[in-house]
Amino acid sequence: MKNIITIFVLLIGLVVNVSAQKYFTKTGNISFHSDTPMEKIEAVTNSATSVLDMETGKIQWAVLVKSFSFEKALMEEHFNENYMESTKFPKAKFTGSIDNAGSLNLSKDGKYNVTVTGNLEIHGVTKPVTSSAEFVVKGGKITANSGLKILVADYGIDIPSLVKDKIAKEIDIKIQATYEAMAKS
Amino acid sequence: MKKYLLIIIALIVVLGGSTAYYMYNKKSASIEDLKTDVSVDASALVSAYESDEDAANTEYLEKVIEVSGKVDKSETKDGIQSIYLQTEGGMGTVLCQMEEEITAPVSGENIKIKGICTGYLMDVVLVKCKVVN
Repeated sequence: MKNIITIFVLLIGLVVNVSAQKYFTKTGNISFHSDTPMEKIEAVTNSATSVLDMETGKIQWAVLVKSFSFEKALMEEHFNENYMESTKFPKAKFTGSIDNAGSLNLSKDGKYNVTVTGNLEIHGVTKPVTSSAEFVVKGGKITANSGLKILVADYGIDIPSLVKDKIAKEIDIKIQATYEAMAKS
Repeated sequence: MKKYLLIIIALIVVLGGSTAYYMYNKKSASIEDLKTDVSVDASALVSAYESDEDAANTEYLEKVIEVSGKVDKSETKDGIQSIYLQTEGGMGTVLCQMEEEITAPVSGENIKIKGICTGYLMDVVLVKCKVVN
């Protein structure tokens, strides 16, 4: 009898573990900042999606460029029409993996620092990027924070000389997500 | 004569300057002030995106859309409310991010939401949304 219970408990543990291998969010937060003495530009979106596969350590992000909102209407218009050409390139994507995924145990409370490497696609141009990320697991809730700096010129975005002093060459991007376990179907 | 000319030039400069300043500082428009471009059913919107994303983008991207459907669920995270609309078949739903938080609608309730379509990821995403009666 005891054995049966042990097997049963083990089996349940297995099922829970297997089903909790993939995590996702549909409401990831991405913001970016451009800081120059002339102008501060800030934009934010809350509808980025991300999928995290703990079995392989693979992580994916996707965001709709048009979902970024700016304080000033004109900035939003220039961002979409002149710089990001968001009708032609509606999405920005990141596909990569967590280098030290083995050290990350999402079923146990704690703070985990990891390094994520992969490819970032913006404005139709794909570049390799590396970033450090922090995962915090607390009471079953998984939040991830990361940030990276990118060069506007790397992604084939031309800034006219007229506004050159208003837009930073290097853009600071912040990423934040609360992941949910994906239900196995 | 010269005096008048100077006054006129000064006026033009002041007017032009203030218009430019106004345009430059104009806040992003609220959804209330925008005219609806397309009205569509939640299921039809999602299936359009699922079958041909490029074609759907031409039709809906950046447009002000009034979408009607049944509420799947409402979630508020970091002060941002997202209302998901049910669709028939398919995996995707319509994700509406509200401009201002409202009393969470009940699941299954019929609703009509106006927002700006920003495209399709796992769901069709609408931002700056507001419930219309």
